[in-house]
Amino acid sequence: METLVKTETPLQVKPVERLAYSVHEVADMFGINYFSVYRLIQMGKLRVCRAMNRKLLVPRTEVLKLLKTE
Amino acid sequence: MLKRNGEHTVVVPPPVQQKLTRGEQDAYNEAIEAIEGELGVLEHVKQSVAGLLEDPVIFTIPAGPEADGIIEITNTPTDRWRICSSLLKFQNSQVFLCDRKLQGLTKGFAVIERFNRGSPYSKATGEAEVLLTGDDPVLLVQEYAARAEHSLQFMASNLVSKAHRIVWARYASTSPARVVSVVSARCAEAASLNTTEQHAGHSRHVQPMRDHVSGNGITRSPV
Repeated sequence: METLVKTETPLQVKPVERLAYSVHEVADMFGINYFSVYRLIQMGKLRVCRAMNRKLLVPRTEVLKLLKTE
Repeated sequence: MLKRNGEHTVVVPPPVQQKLTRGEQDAYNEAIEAIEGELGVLEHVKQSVAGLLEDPVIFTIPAGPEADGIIEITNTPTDRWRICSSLLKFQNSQVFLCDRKLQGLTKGFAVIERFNRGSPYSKATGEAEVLLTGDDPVLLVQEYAARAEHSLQFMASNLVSKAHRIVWARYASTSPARVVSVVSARCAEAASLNTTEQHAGHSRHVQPMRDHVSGNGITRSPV
């Protein structure tokens, strides 16, 4: 008689996707200087939001939109 | 600026002259240490931008190893520009003043940023991006410098936010607001071209230099 052996699989935790990134992180992702990222924000090409401490955050959707990977 | 109740807010200058207590000084030092790298880049870019304003005419004369090179704007085919001179150089990109012949003998000018070919941004949007166009190269350089100054101030305000977070998180028991206002004054000074102009005014006899900012620092080359 065939028996089913129940193997324990390790709990797989799906990595949480970031909702927003700092200007520095975006510069690294784009491969450009962060001065250029500030320019993109000022030109309205990259929309940002502010954290509670007024720090600029770039939403993930904006990053994907500009990299055309959305 | 108005308060919530409609009254005008009174702008109090930052207490730069006020001496910080030891605790406040510690908070200030830690905040400045956290933004030191960015502050350094900010000041280097400022020096370069100040150089543009010092003598914008120089940049309209073709010079440098990139001069006469061609930049193609891939997003709009047949848009070809000839490099006139380099305005700013970063680790991952370079800003050029470019020109091209229009009808007859007239020329059009543009400020163009060229990115590293392999970067994800250039792959998505094209290798080069036109920032400004016009028919007067001097005005164009001045306009670019003015916009760059705005970007510097924008950068400075974000640095203050970063410092703000550190000061309030670790030194809430001291006077965070006083410390933040001193950090704010320091960042504003780093971004302000006025402070550079004062220095430039004292050294007019010095040959104009062009600064190139890279990841490791800044290199200066005679024009």
